[in-house]
Amino acid sequence: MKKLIVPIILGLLVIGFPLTGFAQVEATATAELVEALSASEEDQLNFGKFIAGESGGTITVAGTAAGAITTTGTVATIGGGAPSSASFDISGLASQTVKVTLPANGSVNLSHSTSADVMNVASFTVSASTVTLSSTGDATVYVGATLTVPNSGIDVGVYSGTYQVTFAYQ
Amino acid sequence: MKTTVLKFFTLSVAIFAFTNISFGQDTSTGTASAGANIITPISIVKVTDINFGDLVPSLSTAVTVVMDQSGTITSDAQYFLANSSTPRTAASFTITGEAGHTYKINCPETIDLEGPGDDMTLTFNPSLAIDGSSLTLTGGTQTLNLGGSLALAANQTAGAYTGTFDVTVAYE
Repeated sequence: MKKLIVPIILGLLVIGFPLTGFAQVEATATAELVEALSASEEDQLNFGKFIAGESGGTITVAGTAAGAITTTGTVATIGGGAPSSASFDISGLASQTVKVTLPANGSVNLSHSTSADVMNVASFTVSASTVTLSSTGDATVYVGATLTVPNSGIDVGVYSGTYQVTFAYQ
Repeated sequence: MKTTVLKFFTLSVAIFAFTNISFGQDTSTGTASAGANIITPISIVKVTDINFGDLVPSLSTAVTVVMDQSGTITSDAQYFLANSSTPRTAASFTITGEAGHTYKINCPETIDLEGPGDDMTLTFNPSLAIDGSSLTLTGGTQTLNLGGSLALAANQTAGAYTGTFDVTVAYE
């Protein structure tokens, strides 16, 4: 009869074991997705019509809404050709600050429509290098740059090229 | 009369033998259980949830945003807001129990976060094995940190996404 008592006690211990050998907790994973940033080019950067002159020079479009034209050397504008600063409409998360990154100097050239001649575009400027989006998540920025014109030996005609402007949330 | 007494005696022996075998099994199991009963109970406490904060999807491509086990996002800056509206944290749990005892952690390796757009899959990057493999509770306290990789679809719909998961610890 003595042996009968022992198994009963041990049986209780077996039941008690899982209560101390196991624990669980619940956790939460969260992420907040904001609107992707988008930008569209509304106006193209355009240096208009000009003559190179004997020794060339530069022609600059200001990075402003007005896009004022200035020239150096023997370069002279002759009117026409719709000179303009570039404008970009940005859309994204309301009230966020957006950083604008412009092309590096030396990275952008305009090529003649038929010949091999090129002209370099550098010293890009922007109306605001950081811009805060409105309460509706919109903003507009203007980009200008300086075109270097060689001497009168350069082919006349239409020159064009592309460049990249990067917009990113700050 | 003599025959009847003999039968009764035989039956008694048989019952006694059977009972003895049962005692042998119970005693063996009971010894192990008695040892477990005196150790410190295992427990797990959540210190922080995992929160990726404000993320920015790509308009055109699916991206994976990676958070390390300390709560820092290591993906390209264009995919998250530096000034998040909520603090970024990795998940962190404190596990306590009997020093040196072996135990295991069970936690899903991936969960889905649900929100206004498609579900996003979060794949955990744990500091301790969470697949139930054997661990040692060194010093009686261990910390489990969970970083992870969150898969965003191209132009993932804006809004809050959440998911819940259980973390279980058990002695072995």
